[in-house]
Amino acid sequence: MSRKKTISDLRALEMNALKELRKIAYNIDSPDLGVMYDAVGKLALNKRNRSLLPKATELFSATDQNVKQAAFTVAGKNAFGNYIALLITEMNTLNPVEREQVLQGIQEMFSQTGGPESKGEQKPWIESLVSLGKEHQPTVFSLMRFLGDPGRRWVTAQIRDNISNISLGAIPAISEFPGRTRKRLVKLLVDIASKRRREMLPYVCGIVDDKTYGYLAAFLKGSSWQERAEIAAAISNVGIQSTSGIIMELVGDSNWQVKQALLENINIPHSKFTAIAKMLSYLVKETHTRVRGQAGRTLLLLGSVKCLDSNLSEQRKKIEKRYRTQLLKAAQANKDLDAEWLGVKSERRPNAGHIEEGLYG
Amino acid sequence: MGRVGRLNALSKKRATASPQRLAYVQKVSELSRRGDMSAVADLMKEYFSDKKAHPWHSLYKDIEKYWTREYPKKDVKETLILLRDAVFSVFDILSLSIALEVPTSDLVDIFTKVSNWDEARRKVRNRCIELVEELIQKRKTRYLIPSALKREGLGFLVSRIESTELETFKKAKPKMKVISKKKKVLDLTSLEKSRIGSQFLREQMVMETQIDSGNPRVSQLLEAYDQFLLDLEIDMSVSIPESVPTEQITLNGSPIEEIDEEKPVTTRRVRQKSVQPPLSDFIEEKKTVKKKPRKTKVQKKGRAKKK
Repeated sequence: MSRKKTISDLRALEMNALKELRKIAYNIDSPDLGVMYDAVGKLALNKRNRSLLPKATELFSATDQNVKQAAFTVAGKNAFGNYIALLITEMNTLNPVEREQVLQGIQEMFSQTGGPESKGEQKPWIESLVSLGKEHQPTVFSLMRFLGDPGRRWVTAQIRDNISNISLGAIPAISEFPGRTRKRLVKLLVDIASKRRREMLPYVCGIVDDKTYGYLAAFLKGSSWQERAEIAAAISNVGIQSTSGIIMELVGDSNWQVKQALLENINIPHSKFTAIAKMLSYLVKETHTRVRGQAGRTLLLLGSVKCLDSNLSEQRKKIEKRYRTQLLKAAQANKDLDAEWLGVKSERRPNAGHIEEGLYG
Repeated sequence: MGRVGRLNALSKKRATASPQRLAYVQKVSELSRRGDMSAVADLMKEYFSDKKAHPWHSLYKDIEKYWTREYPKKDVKETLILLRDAVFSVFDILSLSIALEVPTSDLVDIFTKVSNWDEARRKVRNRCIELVEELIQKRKTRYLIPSALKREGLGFLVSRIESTELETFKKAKPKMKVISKKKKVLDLTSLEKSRIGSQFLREQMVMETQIDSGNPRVSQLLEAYDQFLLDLEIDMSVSIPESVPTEQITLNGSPIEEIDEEKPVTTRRVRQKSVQPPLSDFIEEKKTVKKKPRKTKVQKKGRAKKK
């Protein structure tokens, strides 16, 4: 019984598995192009083909473009140690699009298996990757995520010392870093960009989340209203979870567009009710009609969209108690929103759009 | 209650205890899958200081004994190949992984029987060199890759491999083969089997392994063969003086030059930066061009100042 459970011919099994790889290596040199292409296809598809890495490097100088590309892709997915430097220098013979494809192959492989964990492998990767041209910066940035501490340190140094050379496309890659590292990198990026490259703001706004939007405060100093409106829109998109610092500053902004941006497209499901309620308590008294109208609309929305930390009946009770007049006005002005929970029937049915159209036309 | 609890604890213990037999195998193959060969090398080096924590000596025995029990549904082949990749990579002989039909366990045995890492590395590599020499003697050089061998510090084998291949190519000269009384063909199978032969056939765009004697391509092909051989022989005699560059390699297998290469790498990056200025620069450039289209000298000065 126990005999059955053991494997007795490991050596034969290994040789058997090796045979497939040997066959690929053999057929790549075949004069028959069909056989050759078949082998190249297998080379590209085979998962455990690190043994074929030397063969792939031999094909870097192949005249057939397809073979060459396949060789580089395979080498990218299997490179380690000394092969990394070889691969990246040889990639100079490719055009930028092909290079980018190879890099994306590497990225795919890293995201499937995880990057190398020892510094002995991380360092050669970083040393080689940074020698690539700027057109590959976004991919290189996102590859750094898989290269542990040295990778993070390199990105940090780039932001700190070299921000003028960071391409805007590389910014989203920063938000791919995990957890705390990402928080730290976003903070650093915001701090430095606010001083040296303010045109990065829209891109930075694209990567903030509920844990990092507070950092955008760095941009407020000496900002134009357009910039503040951008920040306000980004924050309300993420959701408002507290009324500290930056949000109250935006609520008290001297420009109405900023406040408008804060209310427009507000992400209610990801906001806290208490925070929105406090914000609205200021904005319903706003002097600018548009902002006031938008605040009313947001109030009305709170009656039908649930916040992060409360429930609908609670929300309705609280806002009705305090803002009944504003709510009724808002219900009149915003026929597209559900207002039946207020206990009033709107005079026109919400779907009677054609009447309104008639009025304007 | 107490008894049941204890039983549960026991069964739990058993359940968690068994997969740990192959934990080390899994660890090594996971590192190999990630291409983290430097980490595998560290594990192998630690074998000499702590054999219990790094049981390389019993690695393959453990797989034999416990694989089916612990991974009844998983094919062992993948793990075997991953281990092979790891071991061959660490000893810097990856290009021989395909060429040598030696089971990895043989190499691991050599490595675990000596007393320190340097000796292990030397002995394993020597064993592989022996095997390569056998292959050269038997003229089975098809899987040996000269460029890779040079990189792995085995460049001294290359000239012999090349001359052997040339010889094989010479011997594989296509001959007429009689199939029946009426039919004769030019036989190309032996040519196809040699690496240079394959290369030659590909250049000649010949895909079949035999050609009818009546075919006009036969004489063409034979002529081309002679020409190709002549070219190769001249090439060989020319290339011999400037053959293998002596690359010094440390015991870890990394070429010594690499440390010096670091600096040029950074300068190259800087150069590329100046070639590709950020987007905003393009806009500035256009403005200056529009403002001063006449005097190019002034324009250049103005831009330099701005930067």
